[in-house]
Amino acid sequence: MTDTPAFLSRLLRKKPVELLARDMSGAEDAEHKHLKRGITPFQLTMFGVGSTIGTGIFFVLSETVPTAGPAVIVSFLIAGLVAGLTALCYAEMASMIPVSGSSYSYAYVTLGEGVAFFVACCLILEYGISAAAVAVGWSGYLNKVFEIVLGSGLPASLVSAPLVADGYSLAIGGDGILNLPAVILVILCSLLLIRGTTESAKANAIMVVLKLAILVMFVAIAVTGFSAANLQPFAPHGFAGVSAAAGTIFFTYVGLDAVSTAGEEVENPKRNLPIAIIAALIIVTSLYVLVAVTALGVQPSAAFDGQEAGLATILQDLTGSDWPALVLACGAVISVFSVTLVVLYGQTRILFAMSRDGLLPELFYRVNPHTLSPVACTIVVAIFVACIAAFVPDAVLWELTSMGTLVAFMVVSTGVIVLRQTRPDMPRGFRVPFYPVLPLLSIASCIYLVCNLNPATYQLFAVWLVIGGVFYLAYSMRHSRLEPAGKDRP
Amino acid sequence: MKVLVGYAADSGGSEALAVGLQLACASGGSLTVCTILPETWGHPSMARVDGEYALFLEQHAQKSLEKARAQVGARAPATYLCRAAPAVHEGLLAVAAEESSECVVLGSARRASRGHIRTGSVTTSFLYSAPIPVVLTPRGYAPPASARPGRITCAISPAAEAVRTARYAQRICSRLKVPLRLMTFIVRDRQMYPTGAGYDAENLVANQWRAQASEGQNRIIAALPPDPPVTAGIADGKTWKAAFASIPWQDCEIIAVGSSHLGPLLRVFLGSNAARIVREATVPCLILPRQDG
Repeated sequence: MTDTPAFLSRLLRKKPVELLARDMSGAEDAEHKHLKRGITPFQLTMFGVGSTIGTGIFFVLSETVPTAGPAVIVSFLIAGLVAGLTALCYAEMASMIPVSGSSYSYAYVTLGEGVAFFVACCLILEYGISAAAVAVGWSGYLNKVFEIVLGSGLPASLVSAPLVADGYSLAIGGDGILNLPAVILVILCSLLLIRGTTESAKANAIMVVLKLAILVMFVAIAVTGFSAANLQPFAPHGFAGVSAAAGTIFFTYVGLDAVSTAGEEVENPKRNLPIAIIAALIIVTSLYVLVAVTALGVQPSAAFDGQEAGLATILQDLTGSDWPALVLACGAVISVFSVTLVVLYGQTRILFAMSRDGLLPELFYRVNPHTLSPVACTIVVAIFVACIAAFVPDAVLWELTSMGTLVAFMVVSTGVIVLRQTRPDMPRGFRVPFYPVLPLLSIASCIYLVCNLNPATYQLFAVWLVIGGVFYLAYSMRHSRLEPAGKDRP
Repeated sequence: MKVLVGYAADSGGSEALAVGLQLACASGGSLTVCTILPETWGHPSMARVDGEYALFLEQHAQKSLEKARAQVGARAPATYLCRAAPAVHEGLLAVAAEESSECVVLGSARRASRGHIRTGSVTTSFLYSAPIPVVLTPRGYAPPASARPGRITCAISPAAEAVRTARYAQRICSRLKVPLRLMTFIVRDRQMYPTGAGYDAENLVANQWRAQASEGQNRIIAALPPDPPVTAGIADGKTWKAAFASIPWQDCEIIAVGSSHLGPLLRVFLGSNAARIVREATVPCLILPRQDG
């Protein structure tokens, strides 16, 4: 057992920024001089839109409308506001480091190993769990495509989880054995990642257009069946319902932080980062609100409960014809596939970075000489995500993702304040406006959304943190690259 | 070394012949220059139209081989053959077997841009069935008549079977009396957009791979005999082109690639990375058959 001061110093030790720069250096920057890639603000906005839309709007209404009623529109605005605040805080922290990494890397350099490990635990929820959640939603849309094209979908036992969220406490029951399509999606994406497939900036742009097109199509068709009567009563469960839904809905904004990490890549970050974050947020939020308003106008709130492939089903019911639903379902299947790929990619690279730092076993950073990708790491992630997608219902996954993301952002926002005090000298490419009001507001809003999550989510989160903590004490702390006698990896 | 050159009376043919001649001269071996003609009907047709066509082809081939003779001169012992076969690659394979050739040299397809290699239909079919090393020459490649091969750079990805490829390349080096350079290509074109893991995430993987590749190269060098001398290097760039440009190339250098471990044993089979190297190469490319343990 280590004595307390040593333990504390381990928790607080920071990865030197030069080491991070060396780890992340490119081929051309031999002297670790980072080359700016010159992402334009427009491209950056597209990255934000691309990584955000698709992580939830296709599925989340069936869960949140029963909680909030038509006032779910307000929940979308609240969640969007919180996402914007946190993204701005994250952007300041990211801009302090001259390389583009994950919030784990930033926390390691600025706040220390303990906080970084904690953030990493949260990130596994943000990426790993959200990949599973997205895969489950994808399964619903794929089944919808089968229903329309083949006349009948897959048997219920193969498209739903055996665990059910009975009032948010998990229990075995329901008619599912496993969610097979979700498992297949995760495996397919992992195979692509093993092969070394990437989604280029151009592919992202195509996906953004596809997603926007199908959502605009939904709005255009659904607006024809709009009936204001469906919006009454507006908030059947009062503000409590609105807040509870906002906590879950925050999940649909996960991915906006892809903008913040571009700090050093974008020209003139001081001006362009907030522009891109806010522009992406406005595009995403307006689209979400439009989709929610038109969907709510078409059918009464009660009809949303448990509706799978929600948006496609709404179109089918409204038009009485299959093709709009089929177009939407196909679009969702394609675009959600790309989102899953990107999210799984993020998860594997975060684990890769952690294992390079010695906090995870070496297995996670070995590169396979044939595929030139971290195969073992990808397989481990695939198994983890596939099992969760197979057996756990989506509502629980959304909340867990929200929990992980909100807590990680809370840490980041706190970090912004702490670093302004402790490291005022460090250059920052971007500084949050209205300091310290904005970071404080960001923290308060995260706490507010977290408080509205379900107790079962807290339990799962606590269990996860305990597992993480034990692992840190038992393994990571001693194997860290910053450990004096630790393995010295080049 | 017995070198077989698949010859046609076009620029591809003379480029292949120039490289074949270099190899034969450097190794003190011999050259077989072969033109393959389409097979005509075995029995007489009405009015012997087919016979006339066969005669025309034969005369044309002889004319081509005359050009080849002029190019080779007396610099290496050479045989000139013209053979009819149902398909060009089959004819070449048959001649290679008869002549016990140790290596086949082919030109690039006409659609290749100057200085680059593209495999045409003949080369592609030949590549998937050749039991001996195949050299592909870039379009427009014209080494000075007296030039000798400078060095062989063997592109490897240090996996377990790479040592066999390196050993094979070293054997060829010793025949040609040139040094061997092992080269691992690191191409940083795999960054995913957008991502929450940062836009430098793939550099982390590439840098790790670079470290692993370096270790692997050292292991391979340790497993090889000391002569001919072996050096190692890493070609690192954002694109394949940049990676190629990041390392110095000698005059008349040859790049060697191994066959995919997924292909049939003792046959040439281009894997995806090897295919990229062939596409990007601006020097003759030597493709080695897959080796047994």
